[in-house]
Parts: sequence; structure tokens; C-alpha cells
Amino acid sequence: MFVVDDDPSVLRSLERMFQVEGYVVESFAHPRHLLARGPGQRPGCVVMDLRMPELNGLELQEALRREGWKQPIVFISGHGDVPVAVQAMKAGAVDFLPKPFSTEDLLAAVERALAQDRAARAVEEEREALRARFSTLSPRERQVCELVTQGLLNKQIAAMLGTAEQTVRLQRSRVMEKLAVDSVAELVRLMERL
Amino acid sequence: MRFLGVLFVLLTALPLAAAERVKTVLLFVPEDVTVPSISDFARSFRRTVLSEWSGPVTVNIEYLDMAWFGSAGYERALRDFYLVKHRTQRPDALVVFADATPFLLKLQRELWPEVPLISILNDEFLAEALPRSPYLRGNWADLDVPGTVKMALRLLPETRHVVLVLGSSQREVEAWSFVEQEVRSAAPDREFIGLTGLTLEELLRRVHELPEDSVVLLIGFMQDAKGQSLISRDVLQLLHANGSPPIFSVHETMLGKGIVGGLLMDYEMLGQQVARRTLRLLKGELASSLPPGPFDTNLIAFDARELKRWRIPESRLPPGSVVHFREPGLWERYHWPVTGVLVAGLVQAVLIVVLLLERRRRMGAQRLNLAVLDSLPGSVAILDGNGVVLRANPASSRLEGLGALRVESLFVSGGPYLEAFSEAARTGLSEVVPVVSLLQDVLAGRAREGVVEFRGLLDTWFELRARRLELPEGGAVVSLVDVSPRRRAEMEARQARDERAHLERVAAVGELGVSIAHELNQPLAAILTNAETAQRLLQRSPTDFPLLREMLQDIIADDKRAGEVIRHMRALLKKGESPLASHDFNELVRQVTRLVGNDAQLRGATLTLQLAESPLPVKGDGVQLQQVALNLIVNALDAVSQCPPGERQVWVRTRRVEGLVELVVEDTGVGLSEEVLERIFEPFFTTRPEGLGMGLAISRSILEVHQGRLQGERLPDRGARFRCTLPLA
Repeated sequence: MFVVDDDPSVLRSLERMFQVEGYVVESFAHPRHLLARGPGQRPGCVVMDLRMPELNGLELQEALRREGWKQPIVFISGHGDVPVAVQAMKAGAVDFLPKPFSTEDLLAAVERALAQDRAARAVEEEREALRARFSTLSPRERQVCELVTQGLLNKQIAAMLGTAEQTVRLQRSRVMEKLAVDSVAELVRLMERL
Repeated sequence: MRFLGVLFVLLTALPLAAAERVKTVLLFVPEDVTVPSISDFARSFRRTVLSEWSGPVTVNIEYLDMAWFGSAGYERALRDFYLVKHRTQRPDALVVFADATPFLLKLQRELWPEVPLISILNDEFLAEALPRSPYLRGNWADLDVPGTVKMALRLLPETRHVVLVLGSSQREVEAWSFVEQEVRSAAPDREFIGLTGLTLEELLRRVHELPEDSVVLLIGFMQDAKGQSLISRDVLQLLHANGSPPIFSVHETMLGKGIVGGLLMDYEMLGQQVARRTLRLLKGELASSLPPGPFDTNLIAFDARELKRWRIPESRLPPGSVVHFREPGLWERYHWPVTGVLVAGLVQAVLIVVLLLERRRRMGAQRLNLAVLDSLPGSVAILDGNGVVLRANPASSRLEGLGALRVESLFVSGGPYLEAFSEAARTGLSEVVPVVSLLQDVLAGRAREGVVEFRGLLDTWFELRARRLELPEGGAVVSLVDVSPRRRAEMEARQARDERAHLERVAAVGELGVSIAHELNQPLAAILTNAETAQRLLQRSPTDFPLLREMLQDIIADDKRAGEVIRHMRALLKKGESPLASHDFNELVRQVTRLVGNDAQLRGATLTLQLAESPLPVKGDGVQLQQVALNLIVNALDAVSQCPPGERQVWVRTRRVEGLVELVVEDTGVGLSEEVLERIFEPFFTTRPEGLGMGLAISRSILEVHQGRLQGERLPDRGARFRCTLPLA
């Protein structure tokens, strides 16, 4: 759990609360300190104040994305300026809580964020596995694979690539095997996910 | 012979050395003593040093006379001359004026390397260019040429030609291009005419032939093209006598000799300020520890006769202008004769009254006597030595606010005037106590006359004047006037000011509303989180008591913090006058910055606080003084909100300067145009669409009540600086 707030007493109270709730907490009194730390690798969530010195929350959100942070963000703010909240949500914030907020609401928002992070990581892992499988294809097999998903017949593919239909058929079955799919329809779905 | 001489020197020097050593100050000025500005400066310098130094001191002045004899050979010869002249006597402090500085720096290096030197230069660039040394301090005194040109154009807006006159001495020739540039840029849309390199005759002719819609700026004319040495002031008088368009200048010494006026360098004031710094050197301070920066010795002054001649109404003069040489009015011209006549008249009137009284007693004639008294304004009574009414005009009905005081008994013959007041004082009308003592003093001859203002019933005010009658049997003339309308007007004015100040504070706090909400929500959020966490902690076992204690402490601290915010806001919103009290100005400013700190952050501005290290005691209404600071800082934040992020800077500084407390608020904002700067203190003038336009006007009037000042200025680069000063308590 990464907490950023320039108000020391708010920061301390949040840090303590998350610790009591059993989270691993890193807290930062200045947005620059968080940026200096570098992106967190483990699943987690960033809770930050919208109004801070030098960088405001929106700017920090933007900077974190650029730096490669993936963790979702929950904003907290001392005043309910709706336009900024809308902007923050559009830029991908999970939630926006006006201060003072109840601990329950904050924990719920954080849990939502963590779930989102976990789901995102799962999708990412699966995509990673697919990519690994795809990388075992030879260059010619990739060409064939792409043309198949475009809906071309073996004959047409052979004509385009200037080989025999027989060869194309062979390469096509190798592709299906390496990517562990049974039908063209399955292959198309898989390519879409990539 | 030589031996004897040495002995003599030793003998005379010994007693002196045993007593206090005579300090020596050496002042070098570039011009001849007959130049008026130089003689003003040198005279006031010498006078100030001599009168303010506690011990024996000598001031030697060397007039280098460089304007009229400026050549390299002359400088070399001067150097050799001073080398010999001052070889044996080491001065304790050196002071050099303007153009003599380079020469003197060489002299200091050769002769007196460790004698401190103050140099008064013409501008900041020259001062910056000086070498850094503990024995040297460069200050500057600007001749405000652009300011004078702009002011001339403001006074005479129809002007089409701006004429610059400068002589042909070496230094004047060197200064020409710089001064020309200054004049041109101060009057970009007027035609520039340069009169330089002329003989005196040519100058007179050219100035005489100038078009009517010109103004002439005479900076100096120390030498003409033929090499004739001149005094600029004499040249001015010639120009004036020969017929010239309005002339302006930058030297106070020219005032009264034909110039309309200008931003004038007051050389006497300059001499005084330089002398005070020299005294610090004599006390042993290092030159480098003297304050850097400019001397502020420019006055805005005018000649009333010239203003009248060129039909310039005084309403066009900038605030703070001084007008000299007013044509005396009837009253000023015949002041003494008129006073004499009036006094004689008054004495006569009293005599008449007394004589009439005598006559009544002897002859019973009353009519004239009554007519005189009745014709007097106010309610007048003549009392005998015991305070009983001899004669009075009928009591005016406007005296009804005297209530318990039986007015009818005050203004009839035989009425117990003194007794009536004494009675009222005894029975609880304490406001009339001073009246009784005044009457007693005048009747007993302890005072000749006196005035007392006192309060009646129902918001009424009275003024009682008593004057002793110079008669053997004593007595007094007493007048009683209702002054309630005047008092009421004064009070209403004061109330209106407080009312406006309150309004402005409400508006300012309203503007800060968002920021104050944030300021409150921070501690509230921390309190809620801490309390809820504590609740959760209590449900667990074993309970972590040290952590609980820590959280409770934080809750208390945050609660206090929230209370503090509300207390400040309420103090600012509070109406009416809070009593004059002692405050630390630093603390007042710090509280204000705490209140606006968040607002600054919201606007992405950096608020830098540089407070004086020691407390700055001031006496006054703390809330109103905070209002001034609040107003200046909020204005500055508004000004920078237009800037790109990262360039929104506001500085707030306090310091102690010569018996004053100074607050400076500086920003990097859009700055102030000349027009805005002129009108900025007018009520209802604002540059913001939602602004009330009362902030600065009220700030200024608050400061006036506190004997303080408020000034705004444009910064050279961009942004604005507001400086307010208050007397140190």
C-alpha cells in the first residue's frame, strides 16, 4: 500500500490504520519521494491526496503512469471539487473520497482497487503466456498464421507465398499444434487477445 | 631647526594622544564648491558629522573640480598633489561623490589601503561594478530622469516635443547617450529634441524658438561648446528669463529658479544620510557591513508660480508632492495686520460689553448691551468673580442635551452658572467635572482661558470656552456651543471605515473559503481515521495500548489545530474595533500565511516566508493589521495565478528598518501598468472581475490610523512589490 499525503497527521493516521488492518504500507510526505522510489512490483494500490505541493494529484497520476506504475489509484481530497474528481476518474483512478472519509469506505475502495489490480495482473500473465507460445513460431509459420486468421484458403495462401498447397497445409497444422488450438475459430480468438 | 620642529610636534601631539584622538573624515567631490548641488551636499554632510559625532572630528573636503578641468594629465597631477598633501595624516574615513570614484579608488590603493571608503554613485550598475572589499561600500542615488519625464507629460498631456538640454563638459558629453536613451524611452510617442554641443548663446536662441507644445528637461549645463564654465542654475535662470517652454529638472537646487518641478534629488538630505553612514565607519564598523543599495533622497516638488503660469491644476500632481513658493493669499499676505484688527476688534467688543455693564449699573441703560450679546453666536454669558451670571444672551434651544442641568438658570442675570455645573458634577454627571475645574481656574485667575469638550445626554457634545476678564473684580466670558453634529460626523466616518474594513475581511475570507475548508478537513480526516482505527484496535486482544495512546494524542492535537483555524477565521470576521494592543508583527504575518498557505498551494504558487529573526513589536489593532497582510498576499497570489506553473512565486518578508517595521510582499505576476499603479489606491478600483476594489484603499487607511504607510511599485523585470511600514512600538 503506497500512501502519499503532504499533511503529516493525515499521513500518519492512514499509515497506522493500514498497518492495523494488516497491509504492508509505504508512506510518502511528498509526491517527489514516491517518484524517486521507482515503480512497485508487487500487487498493490496507491492512496494519494489530490492537492499537494509542486505536483498535484492529477499530475502525479500522469507521472506515475509514465514511470511504469501499474497499481490503481484511490484519491482522497480535502474539498469536493467535482471537475477535478471527474478528470481523475477519467484518467483511470479507482475511486475518489472527500475528506473526512470513513475508514470503512476507504478500505472498501482499496479492496476494489486491489481486486482490479489482481485481475489486471491475471490478464497480463495470460497474455504473457500466449506471447511466449507465439514466439516459438518460425517466421514463415507466423505469415501463414496471419493469413489463415484473415480467412484465406490454403490454396490462396500458397499462391500468395509462392509455395505448394501441400506445404501450406503442413505449416498450418504445425501452427495449430504449437499454439494448442483445435479450430480456426479458436485461433482467431487467440490472435485477437494477443 | 629641524630637530626643534620635531620636538614641537611631539610636545603638542602628546597631550592630544592622551586625550581623545581627533577623527578625520575626508570627503572628495568631483565639482567645484560653487556648484549649488555640491555645496548643499557638502554643507549638510559636514554639519551632520560635526553635530552627531560625540568626540572631536574634522571634516576636510577636497573639490576635484573635474567637470571644468577633466583631463588625464589633470588627474595625474591631482594624485601627486594629494599624495604629498595627505602623506602624514591618515584619515579615518573616506567619502567620495559620484564621478570622482575611479580616481579615489586608485588613491585609496596607494595611500590608505585600509581606510574605509563610501562611494555615492549615479546608478546601480556603477555600484555593482565596484571591486568587493571590506573597506569599500558603494551606494547609489539615482537621478530619476524617466520618472521626471513621465511626470512632466502627465502634468502637460498636450506636449508634443520633449527637449533634453545637456552641456558640453567632458562628463556631460559622456552621459549624453545614456540620458538621451532614458528620455526617449520615457516618452516614446513624443518627438525628441536634443540640445547639446551648443554655446550658451545658441542654447538661449534654440530654447526661445522651441514650439509651444514642448517641455524642456535641463539635466545640467556645466560648460558650453566654447568651453565657458557655467553654473547650471544660472543657465536655468537665463533660459527662464529669455522665454522658454516649461522646464523640468532632477535637482532640488533648481527649484525656485524657473523649473516647474520634477523628481528632485535633495542634496541636503543626501549629505545627511551619507554622514550618518560615515559616523558608523568612525565607530569602527567595516565598510562592507554598511547597508548596500540606493539612497532614497528624491522628492516630488513643484514651484507654485510655475504651475500657475503653465495652468497646471494641483489636482494633477501625484500624491506626496510638495509645492513651494505659493503666492501668498490675502490671509497669508496680511496675516499680521488682519489678526491685529481682529484682536483689536475682540478686545473692543469685550470692553464695550464691560463698559455697557458699568453703564447699566450706573444708568440703567440696557438696550445696546443686549443687542451686542444677542448678536453673538453660541450661548454666551458674562460671569462675575463668583461664577454668577451678570449678563447673558438667551439660551439657545439647541442646548437641550444638557438634561439635568437647568439651562434656563444658566442664561439669565443672577443665574448660578458655576453652581449649576458643580451641582451637576456632584449628582453624577461626571462629564462636566472638567468644566467645573476650568471655570474655577479661570475665575480664580489660575488660567487665562481654556476650552473643554464634554458629553451631554443622548449623544450630544458641547464645547465650553472660558476667558478671564482682565478687571479688578475678576469674572469671565463663557461661551457654550453644541458641537454634536461635528462629533457625530467624526464618529460616523470612523464607523464607516470599520464597516468597510469588516466587509472587505468577510469578502477576503469568502474568497479563501475553499482553502479554509481544506484546512479544516485535513485535521478532521486524521481525527476520523485515528478514532475508527482505535475502535478496531479495541476489538482485538491483546490491545496495543501504546499505539492507542499515540492515536489519542494525535486526535487531541488535530482537534486543537482545527480549533485554531476557526479561531483565526472568527477573529478576522469579528466586527468592530479591538483595542490597541502590543503585537509581534512577525506572529501576525505568520498566522495570516498559515491561513492562506493552502490557497497558495491550490493555485500552484510558492509562498516563501522570510521573517525577521527577532520579534517586531508593534502597537495597534491586530486584526486590522492582519487584514492588510492578508489583502496584500491574496492580491499577490491573484497576480501570479496567470503565470505558467513553476513561475508562480510570492515572497513575504518582514524586517526592522530604522525604527520601522517593514512588510514587503513581492510577486512574479503580471505586474502593474503605469495607469493601474496610479489608481490602485482609489476606492472601487479593481483589475479583477469579482474584486470589490476596496482592499488597498482600506489597507492604506488602516495603516494611516497606525501611522504607517503603504506603497506599491512595479518591479523592473515583472511582477509587483508592495511595501508597508509601521512604527516600531
